[in-house]
Amino acid sequence: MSKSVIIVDDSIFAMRTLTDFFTEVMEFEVVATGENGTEAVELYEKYKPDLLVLDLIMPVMDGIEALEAIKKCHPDASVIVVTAMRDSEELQKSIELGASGYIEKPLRFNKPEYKELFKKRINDALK
Amino acid sequence: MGGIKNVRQILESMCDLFAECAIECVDAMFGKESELKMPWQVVEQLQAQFDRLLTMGSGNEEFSALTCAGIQYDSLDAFVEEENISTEYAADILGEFVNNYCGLLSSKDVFKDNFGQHIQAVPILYSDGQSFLPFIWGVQGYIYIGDHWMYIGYTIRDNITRSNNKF
Repeated sequence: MSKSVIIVDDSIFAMRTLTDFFTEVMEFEVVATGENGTEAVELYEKYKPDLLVLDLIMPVMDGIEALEAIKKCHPDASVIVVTAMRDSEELQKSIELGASGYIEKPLRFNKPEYKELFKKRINDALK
Repeated sequence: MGGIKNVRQILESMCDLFAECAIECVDAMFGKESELKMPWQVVEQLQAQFDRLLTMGSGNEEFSALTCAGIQYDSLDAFVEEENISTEYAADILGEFVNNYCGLLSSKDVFKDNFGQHIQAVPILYSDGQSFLPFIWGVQGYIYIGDHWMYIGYTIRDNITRSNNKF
């Protein structure tokens, strides 16, 4: 049975790229998608997926707030954060809050070396 | 980072980096090879006359920056290989491009050494309109896929000395 994933990113382009990667490469089932942190919290409660992929910078509620809310109720939640700012305080804070790993933008899924790296990070996050 | 600097001179020394990051960003996002047809250069005011122009501010305590991506209606199709791209989707693609471009710049040591880590602001898309950007020295240039191009500009000033203002 394939793993379930929820993808939350406010960019349609990034969402499509992530969805393609998780369905075609990781062979996950994308059970839901969202565009902001509020939706991330609601969707996580509804589906309780194996993995949540969460953009950090989003409108309404950002990824950090969503991660904090989800981890408060579900400490074992597996969450991978996505960000273009790899040295940022937000990324550091997300790791402190319990994110299991991160994927940096641009999403270089067309590069074999990055594809393998991200596969490893995702699999590690699920352990 | 720190201290009073001549931002224009720093930008001149980093022109190639700004161009290389643009090519890297196109390759990473769209899986396409792009090229420069002319060197990027430092200018006293970024261009703003494009069918679609997306701007995004960024900065920290010491610096304020503005990144711009400009494109003509039919050019975005060549980058993403999709037809009839709506204004909303064009804004999304350009916004994601600028977000990723700034992320790539911030990952380069020479950028961090000169300008530090930046926090990004909300992007704004101008469509069909005429925009005027401030007179602040910046780097600008074009990247091409075949005959189709995308314009990228980056302007930055010191918050304290405002030494990069033309006026």
